[in-house]
Amino acid sequence: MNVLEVEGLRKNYGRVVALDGVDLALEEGYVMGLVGPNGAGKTTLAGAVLGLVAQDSGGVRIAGLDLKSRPAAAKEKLGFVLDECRLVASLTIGETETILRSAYPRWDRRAFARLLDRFKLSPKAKVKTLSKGMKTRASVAMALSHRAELVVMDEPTSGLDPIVRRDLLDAVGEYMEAEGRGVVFSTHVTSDLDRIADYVALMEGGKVRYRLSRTDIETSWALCKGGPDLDLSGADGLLMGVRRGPYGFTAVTGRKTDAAARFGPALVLERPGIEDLVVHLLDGGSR
Amino acid sequence: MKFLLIKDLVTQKPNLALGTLYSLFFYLLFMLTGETSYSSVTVVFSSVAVAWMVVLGSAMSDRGETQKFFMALPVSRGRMVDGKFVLLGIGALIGFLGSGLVYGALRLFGVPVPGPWFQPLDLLKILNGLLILSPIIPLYLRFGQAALRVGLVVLMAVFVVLQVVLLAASAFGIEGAASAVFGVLDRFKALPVTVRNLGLLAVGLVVAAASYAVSRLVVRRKDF
Repeated sequence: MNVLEVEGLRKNYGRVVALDGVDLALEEGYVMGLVGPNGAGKTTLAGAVLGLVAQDSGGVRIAGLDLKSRPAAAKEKLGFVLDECRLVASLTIGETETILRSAYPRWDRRAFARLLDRFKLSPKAKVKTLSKGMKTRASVAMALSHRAELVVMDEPTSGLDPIVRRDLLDAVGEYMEAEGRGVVFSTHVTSDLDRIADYVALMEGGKVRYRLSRTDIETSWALCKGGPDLDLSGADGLLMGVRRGPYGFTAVTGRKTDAAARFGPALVLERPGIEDLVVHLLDGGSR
Repeated sequence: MKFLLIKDLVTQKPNLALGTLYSLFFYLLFMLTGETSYSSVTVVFSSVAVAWMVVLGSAMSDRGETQKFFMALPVSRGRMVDGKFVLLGIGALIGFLGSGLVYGALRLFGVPVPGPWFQPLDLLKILNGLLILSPIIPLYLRFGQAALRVGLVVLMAVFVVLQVVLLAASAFGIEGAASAVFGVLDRFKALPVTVRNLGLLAVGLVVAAASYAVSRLVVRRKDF
C-alpha cells in the first residue's frame, strides 16, 4: 500500500510557481529523500502534504485518505518535524504531550517516554529553555509516538551537530522497523539521505525531475570522471550534467555499463553520492 | 478541535486565574464608586473581559508561529475557526463563574455586596459584548498576532480621539456635530433596556455571523 500519493499538485504564490504538477508516491516500508536547490519546492511540497499549504489543484492522499476531503482523519496518520521548532515556548514538554494525547487517538505514552529518555529530555523542561538540538529531538519524539503511517520531516537536521543528527537518524531507522510506515525526508544534508533513503526525489523549479531508488543508483548510476582531452562528442544522452574544470570533467550517468563501453578506461566510474546526483542533474547542464 | 481548546486553555492558564482577580477588582472598583448594582455590572465586565483576554492571549501565544505546528495536527481548517469561537464562549463562562466565586466569597466574609449576583438581562449583555467584538478573530487569522496588537492599539486610539473631539466640540461651542452624536446616544438610552439590548444583540449576531464567515474564508485560503 502507498502511504503517500501526490497527484498533479500545483501551488502558485502570485506569479511564482512553487509546485508545478508534482506526482509522487511512496510505498510503506520505505524512506524517501526530497532534495534540490533552494526554491525547488521541497518545503512547499512538505507543507502541502501536512495540510499547511492551500493547494491550487491536485490531490494528496495519506495512507489512502484524501487530505482535502478528510483532513483530520488523514493527519491522524501523519507525524511531522518542521524546519523550525514551532512548539509553544511557554509550555513544558509534558504539557505539550497533554495536547498531543488529545489530538492523536493512537498516542503511545510509553513510546514517548522512551524517546524522551533516549534523547535525555525531561517532560518538565520548558520548550523555551531547550537548545535547537533538544527542540528537534523533542519534535522527533512527538512525531514518532503515535504510530504514524507517514512521517514528514522538513530539514530536521539542518544546523545540528553530527551527534544529534546521528541520534535522530537512528531513531527514524528504528521507527521504520515496524510494518506499514514510511518517511519523507526533505534536506540539504545529502549525507543523511545516503544513510537512510530508499528513494530520492530530485526537485527543481517546482517539479520532481528524477525519482531514483537506491537500487537504481547502485546498479545503473555512476559518477564519471575524465581528463580534459577526452572527446565527449555524441555522449549527450549518456553523460549528464558535465562540469568542466582545468584538470578534466565530472558528470553522472544512468547507464554506467554503456558509458564504460563507450569510453573504456579513460572514463573513471565511481559510485555516486546523492550530492553528486544533485549537483550534476539539477544544475542546468554543462559548464 | 478538542486539542486546540486544550492547547488554548493550557497556554491561557495564567489569564484564567487572572480572570477571577479581575472580578475582585471590578467588585472593589464599583463598590468604591458607589454604583448601586455593581454585582450585575461586574458579572458582565468579568465575563466579557476574561473571554477576550483568553482569545487575545491565545493569539499572542502564536508569537513563534505555533499555528503552523497545530495546523499540522489532526484538525480541519474549519474546525480551527470553530475552536476560536468556542474558546470565546469558554472564556466568558470562566469569567462568569469567577465573578460568582468572588461574589460568594465576599458575601461569606460579610462584605455588603448588593445582590443578586446576576440578572437574566446580564446574560444578554454578556452575549452582546462577545458578539460585537468578534471581528477580532478574522483580523487575527488573516493578519497574525502582530497585526492584531497594532489593530487593537489603533482601535483604542480612535476611541480616545473620538472622545476628545466630541468633548472639545462641546467645550468650544461647536454644538452641531457633538449634539447630533449625543442626541443619537440620548435617544438610544431613552429606549427600554430590554429593547436596547435586543437591538444590540441583533447587530451583534450579524457582526458575529460575518466574522465567522470571513474567518472560514480566510483560513480556507491561508498558507501556514
